[in-house]
Amino acid sequence: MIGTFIGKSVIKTLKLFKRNGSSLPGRIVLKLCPKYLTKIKYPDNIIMVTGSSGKGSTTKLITEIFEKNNMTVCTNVEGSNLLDGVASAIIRNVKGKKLKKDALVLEVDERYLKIVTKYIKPKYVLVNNITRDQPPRQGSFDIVFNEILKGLSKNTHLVVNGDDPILRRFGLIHKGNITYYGIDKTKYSYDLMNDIKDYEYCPKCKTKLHYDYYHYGSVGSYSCTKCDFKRDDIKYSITNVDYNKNIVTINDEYKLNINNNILFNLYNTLAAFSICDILKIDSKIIISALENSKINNKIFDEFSVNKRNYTILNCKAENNTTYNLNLIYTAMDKEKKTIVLGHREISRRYKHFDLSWLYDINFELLNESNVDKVVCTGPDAYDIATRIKYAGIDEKDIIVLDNLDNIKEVIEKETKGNVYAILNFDYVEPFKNKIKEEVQK
Amino acid sequence: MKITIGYLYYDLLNLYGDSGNIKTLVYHLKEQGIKVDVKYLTIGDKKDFKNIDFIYIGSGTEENILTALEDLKKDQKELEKYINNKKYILSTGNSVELFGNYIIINKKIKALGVFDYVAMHQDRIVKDVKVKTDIVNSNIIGFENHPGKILTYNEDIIRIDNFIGTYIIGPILVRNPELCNKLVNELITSKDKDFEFKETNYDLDQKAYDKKSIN
Repeated sequence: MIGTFIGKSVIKTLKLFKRNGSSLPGRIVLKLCPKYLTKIKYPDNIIMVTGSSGKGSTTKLITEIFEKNNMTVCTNVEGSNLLDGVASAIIRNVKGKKLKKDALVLEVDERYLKIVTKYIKPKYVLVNNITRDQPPRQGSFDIVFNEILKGLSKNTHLVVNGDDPILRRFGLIHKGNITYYGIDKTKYSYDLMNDIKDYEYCPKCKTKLHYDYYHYGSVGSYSCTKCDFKRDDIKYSITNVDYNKNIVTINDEYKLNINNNILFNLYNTLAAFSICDILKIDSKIIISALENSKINNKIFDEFSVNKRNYTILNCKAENNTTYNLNLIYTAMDKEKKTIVLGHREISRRYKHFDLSWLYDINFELLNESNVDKVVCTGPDAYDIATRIKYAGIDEKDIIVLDNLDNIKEVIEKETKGNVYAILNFDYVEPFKNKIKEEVQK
Repeated sequence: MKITIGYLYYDLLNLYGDSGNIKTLVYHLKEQGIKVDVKYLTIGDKKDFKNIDFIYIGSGTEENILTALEDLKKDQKELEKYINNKKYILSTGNSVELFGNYIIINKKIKALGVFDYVAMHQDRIVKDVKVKTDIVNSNIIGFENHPGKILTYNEDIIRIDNFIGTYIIGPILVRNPELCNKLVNELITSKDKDFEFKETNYDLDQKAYDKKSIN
């Protein structure tokens, strides 16, 4: 097929220049053959993962499980989740007209699901969360919800986080199958949550929702006091979390070791488990793949330098949910600690200075977290520091640094305790390099 | 002195860091030794406007704005009395649309009609704002993210007596220390014109402002 030929040639040419352009082959092919994707013969198992956060990680977990199950998988490069990126992944794996893999597992941007599904019909769509994220691009979570809805048909089996009332609304509208997963009450659940909640009213009758407990934000066990809207029918539940040993139990039956117990990791793991169990993959294989996964190293890292313990939490700016989950995780450590916050750019996609999202993050949690100092870094360091001041942290405990040049010296000389660096992805590597670099003499 | 802030629809109109305005107001009122009571008011609550000194209302999804509108209509008379008495309201983001005559989203929806303007929804406006006003000397900075446009007024910020309305979203009082300080001063003076002000601390806020306002 001509499209495949063109695409493969582009990939070869890129390789000559030692470039691994992730969306370029797809972009060129779709420009020349706009209907290329509709002509491909796809495998039966097509899974699309969408939502605000964790799509990449969840996609990789599912891929790892499939591969452990001796299935061949076509998947896209993390973050290349628009139509071009999807097309590139397919071109790489296609032979003539046929995608010769057992499964197609795609991470799809939440605004592009409706576009990608015009060409490729998923059997399963997984939505882990819809949160506040990139407001200049997304507008609001309601807009995102409606955009995802446009990508679903009655033939789509939807797999969603049932702890989130925003996602539960799919159940009121979606005509196809729907399976919910969730986390039961744990000893780290909250009876009361003071942070900003995205969704507090029943979508059916506008009554304020009652909560038995919260995990974070408006995620937890909700029920309407007037009608039948509530968290129920959860097919896959994390029924126990052993935070000391990093063991979770699913449906009172399956125990698995995970490499960190940050809530979003639990949800990603549970989501991958759910979809693979629906596909009737042997639970032993699922658990073994999940336990051996290394994918979380990108978002979570721990090391020691000069007798200080560092925990790096990669956290997208503008996404209050991931921040809040990282702050909750940080507060679990009762020892003295120093917090480092910052980003180089708020977004790669646009040059705006919208800082409102800082006030949707529950930095007030730092007051109960045995914090010695908060180090605010980057071009917006003063905006972050101002936020921390209004969270109730004493100004003498706030350190402001425009850049990372002296970060190591400042941490070592002016701060105490375990270091938790909650950083946007564009500051993670620069920060680690600074801390790990040998002192030049 | 005690000042009561009414945070309207704190759980419904809180889309873009709006609560930052409450945090900074409370901080700087307390800095002046004033007792502050924040009343969190939402759907179905009795809104005792006559015992409130400052109303704040922020951004919401379109659905939530209309839910709030229906609820606020029940207290329309009280709200009009509050505004006619020249008491303070800060309305940020799309909540500013509530106070006009109509909101036009496909169809014409009757708003509170407190002020004579119409909000028309069209393409989404997403932009940084830096604007000269006659409220404070320094430019007001902020960010807009909404699908509406207010016909009649061209300004980014409307001040009618002590009603300040703007499409700027989120923590406008944090990002503009001069505006915050002015509102705090006016609010206190409106209750005690001989009030002796103590020193204020906008150190970090001002540095953040200075960095952004030169761009």
